[in-house]
Amino acid sequence: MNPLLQQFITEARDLLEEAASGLLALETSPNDMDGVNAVFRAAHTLKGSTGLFDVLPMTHVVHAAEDILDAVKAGQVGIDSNLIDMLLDAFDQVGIWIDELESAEQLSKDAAQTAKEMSSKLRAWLAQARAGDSSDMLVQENMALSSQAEEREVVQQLVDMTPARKAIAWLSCLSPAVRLQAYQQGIAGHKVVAIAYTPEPECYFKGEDPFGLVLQIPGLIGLSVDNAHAVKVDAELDVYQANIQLYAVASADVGDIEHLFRYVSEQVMIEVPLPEEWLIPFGNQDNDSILLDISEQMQRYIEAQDIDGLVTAINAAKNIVPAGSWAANTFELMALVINTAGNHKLAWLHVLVKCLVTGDQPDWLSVSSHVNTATLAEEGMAVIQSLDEVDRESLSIVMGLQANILRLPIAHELYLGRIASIGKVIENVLHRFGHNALLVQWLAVVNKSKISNNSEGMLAWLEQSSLALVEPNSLSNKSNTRVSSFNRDAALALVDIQRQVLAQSQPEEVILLGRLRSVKTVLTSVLTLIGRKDLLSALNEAVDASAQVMSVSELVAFIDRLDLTVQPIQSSALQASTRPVHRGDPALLAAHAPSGKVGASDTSETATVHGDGIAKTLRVEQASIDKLGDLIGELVVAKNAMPYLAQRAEREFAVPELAKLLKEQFNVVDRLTQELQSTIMKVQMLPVSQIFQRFPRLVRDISRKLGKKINLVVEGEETQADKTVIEVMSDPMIHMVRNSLDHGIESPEERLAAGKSETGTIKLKAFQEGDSVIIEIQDDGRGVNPARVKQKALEKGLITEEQAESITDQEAVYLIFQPGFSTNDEVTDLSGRGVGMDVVRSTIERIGGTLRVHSEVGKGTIIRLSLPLSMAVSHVMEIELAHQVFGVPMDIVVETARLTPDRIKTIKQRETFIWRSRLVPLVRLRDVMQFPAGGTKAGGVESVLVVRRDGSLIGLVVDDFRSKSEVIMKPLEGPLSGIPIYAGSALLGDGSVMLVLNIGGIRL
Amino acid sequence: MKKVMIVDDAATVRMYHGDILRQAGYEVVEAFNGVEALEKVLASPVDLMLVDINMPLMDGYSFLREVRMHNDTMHIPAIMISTESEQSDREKAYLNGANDYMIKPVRPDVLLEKVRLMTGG
Repeated sequence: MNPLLQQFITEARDLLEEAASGLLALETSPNDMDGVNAVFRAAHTLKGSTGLFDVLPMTHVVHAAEDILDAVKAGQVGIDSNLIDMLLDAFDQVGIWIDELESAEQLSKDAAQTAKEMSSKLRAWLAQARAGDSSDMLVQENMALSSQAEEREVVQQLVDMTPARKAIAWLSCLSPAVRLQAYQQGIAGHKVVAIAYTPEPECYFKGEDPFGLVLQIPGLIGLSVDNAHAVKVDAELDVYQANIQLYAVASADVGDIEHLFRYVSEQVMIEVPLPEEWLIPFGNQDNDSILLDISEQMQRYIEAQDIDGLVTAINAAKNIVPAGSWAANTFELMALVINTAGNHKLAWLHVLVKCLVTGDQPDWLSVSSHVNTATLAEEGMAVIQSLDEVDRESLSIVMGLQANILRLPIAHELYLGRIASIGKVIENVLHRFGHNALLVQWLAVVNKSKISNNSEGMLAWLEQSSLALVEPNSLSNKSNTRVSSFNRDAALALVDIQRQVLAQSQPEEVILLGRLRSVKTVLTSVLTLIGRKDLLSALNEAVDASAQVMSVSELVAFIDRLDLTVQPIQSSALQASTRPVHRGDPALLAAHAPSGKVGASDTSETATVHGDGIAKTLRVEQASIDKLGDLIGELVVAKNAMPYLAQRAEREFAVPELAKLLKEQFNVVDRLTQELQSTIMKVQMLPVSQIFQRFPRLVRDISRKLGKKINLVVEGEETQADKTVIEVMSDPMIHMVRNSLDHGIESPEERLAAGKSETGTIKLKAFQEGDSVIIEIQDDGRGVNPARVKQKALEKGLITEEQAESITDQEAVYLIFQPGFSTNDEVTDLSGRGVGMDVVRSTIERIGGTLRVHSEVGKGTIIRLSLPLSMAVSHVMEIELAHQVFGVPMDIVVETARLTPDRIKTIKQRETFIWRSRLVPLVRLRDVMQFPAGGTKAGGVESVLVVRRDGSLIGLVVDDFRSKSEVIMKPLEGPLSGIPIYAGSALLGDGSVMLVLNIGGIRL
Repeated sequence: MKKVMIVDDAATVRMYHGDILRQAGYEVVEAFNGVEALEKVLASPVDLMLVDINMPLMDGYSFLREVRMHNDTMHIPAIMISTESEQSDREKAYLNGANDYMIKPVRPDVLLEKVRLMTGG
């Protein structure tokens, strides 16, 4: 099976388990939102994974369930038992499909039909539940309304928080010298921060020291101090009140400064001005008309890019205006710009010249992001137009998307992160295509955005560049064949999206223009791509019209008028790649999942919980573990050959020294193999919760069907046992618990009549005892009635009348484990079909476990299972029978005895002997196993192995005993597996094979 | 070699996306929720992140917000990959710091194309 599918199956089962147990927990505590979330998440994750495979029915059902859970999460519908039943059914169905997937790698034919019925049932329920009664609906509606309002509010807050670039009026409060220094630093690429600090009047009483604080500003460039408000010298003056306004400029990180002012943050404004924003003329303004002429002349020089001419004009003009005046200072600043600024020189000079006449502060915002980047984009245009077409498409789509992201209002704390990540995305894209010229430009733009914490420059650059990418004349000669159908779909989807963008609530004017501009960019691209350049002029007109009336209506109307003669588009088409690709590739999975089969369908896992509370699980194929176990088994056998070699070294080759060394080495290898064995054993250990976790569901379902009230108590589920034991025990446990539910626990009426509480209790308990795991199933039901059991066994011919009289009440209880026994007259669909309990017994015995029952009429029953901790290593008693060696599991051996003939008595045609004052029947193993009877031994002494079986003792007559040994027992395979008298086979040290007997399987 | 981190609580999805990327020669780091992803990315930055939305302990939104607020990681491009197909989900992803958005199940060629573009190689 493809490993991806395998992974999915395993994961899906985990998720279904999670969902089911979560639902059961919700039944008792329906208001546990964490619980709802857990179930929802399980369903959600499952839905996501189903999408990878051809299992639509599964997706539909899980999706329907997820929608219901979503509604529960949102408080729209409540949880009740009916809903839980429905959801459990849905998840069960998915579980069945998962089984089908595992066995056939596809779903059965009726799956689609089943899915349809099930999901429409779920959806119908949801619709009904949502409708509810009218008052509920009103509440929900109100909730929905208020949540919508809240959403709008949040969006508004986000918009408010977005740093819209505003002129920083108070920069002019700093001294001109400091401003000049700040400009120099800024133009040199340093981060320059401006700080305005207004200590509150009471600050001295709070132990604050405003001057001390500002002097600690890192990288302090300059400081200005003023009164916060005019000083009134009169009786009212309180000299203990602070009246200070501090301005500071520093070359430092905003974060450091924020940290410094963290206790008075509300009294501080921190800004990172762009370098040019420091250029603010100062001085007296006189309305000399000559300035108008001078400024016009300078304007012409600037437009002609005649810097030399401008310098001459400035030098000449300086002599005309009074020293220290506004105009004189403006000229100085212009000279400074000419000497220091780079690309932006002309734009900046343009702004400064404007101030000459108006006397206003320079309007840096008009250029800060736009003019510069426009120039940049112009310069980059040539580079862009040299790209090949595929690159161009890719670039255009990535740039368009990132620009759209930049347009979204975003929370303040994420602003810088967005700049950084979008910076990186475009950087990587440009890098991929090797466009270093563009890359350098872009990095400069991003850097500037980072310093100023303002991404408008980036947006403008992206818009200009992506516009350049689809410049009509650059594409006009290329044929439309390169524009694949995919691009057409994607492009048309874009149109649709642009309409939605426009249709969003009417924005403020500033944003409106940006929105129109972005939509225009996108539509221009789209129209060009689909070869409808004839519509471009109409688009321009629509945009202009919209801008004029400050409303999106014109543009929306234009889009609505667009008839691109294609079918409606799904927005998912946008997901497709920027390059032409084949659609609907069915071999998608095959191409990416390495072929090859995984041997075992099963995985084993070990789990440890680390300090952080997350269980770290390693999934390993069961086949690998098995292989490891096999190898260790062989190692044990190989190791066992060493003492034999030592013996030969000593006896045959007469080198006792070597024999000694061999023995020593044997001890080392022995210890290591033992450790290996115990480690592999631990790896295969699983908690019994693997079995127990199925029961809450089982008990719930069955008790509801039977109309009984049952409380399930589970104890010791963390107890661990070998994986094989856990797996084998799963079904028998279900049989036993069902039996307790069906036959043990009485109906509520019956219980009340018997003076018991209405609710019955079933208790599952697990714990470790020595080398065994004990599992107890206890109920407080009616108990097993020995008389009734005996009578039933008689009727069924399972025992003779004499036996019925001779067996004790306790022994009678064990009759329920006889094949073909059923005490319940009425056969239900749960149990009582006469199979079950005998299967339970044989299963337990097969894995070397034992079973005890204790029952009291009217009080209840306890079934106690003693299971081997591990099936990897078994302790066996080796016995000889007809010159062969057999193993008998040690856990049933009570004692070995040698009997002289006189101690064997025949009672009722059966050989018996008295052992510790108990009458024990003798069984001759040679007879049972149909070996020829052996010759009588010297003195007629028989070797007898006393073993326990079904709670009673029997004596097995064997030829001889040998030693106890530890073996790795393997179940028999193939046709041999059906022979009940063998539990399995094991390798002995000398390499020979020994069969291990299953005493419980021997017919007496 | 470019390093891509896959953040998803579904092992199947991690395996699917991981195989696609590994076969194309990317180094792949996996994380099963936002918390683990954050630990990993802070310890050793990656070139790109593919982020699921719905995950236990810390969802994709919170994870990306954290990443975008941290000096060493704020620049890392991120593609959000989810089963949700509404325009509002897309926008929410962008608002929380994603650079692109894809709907599960993704097509290998589309995913690879995006990864190539966004990692620059």
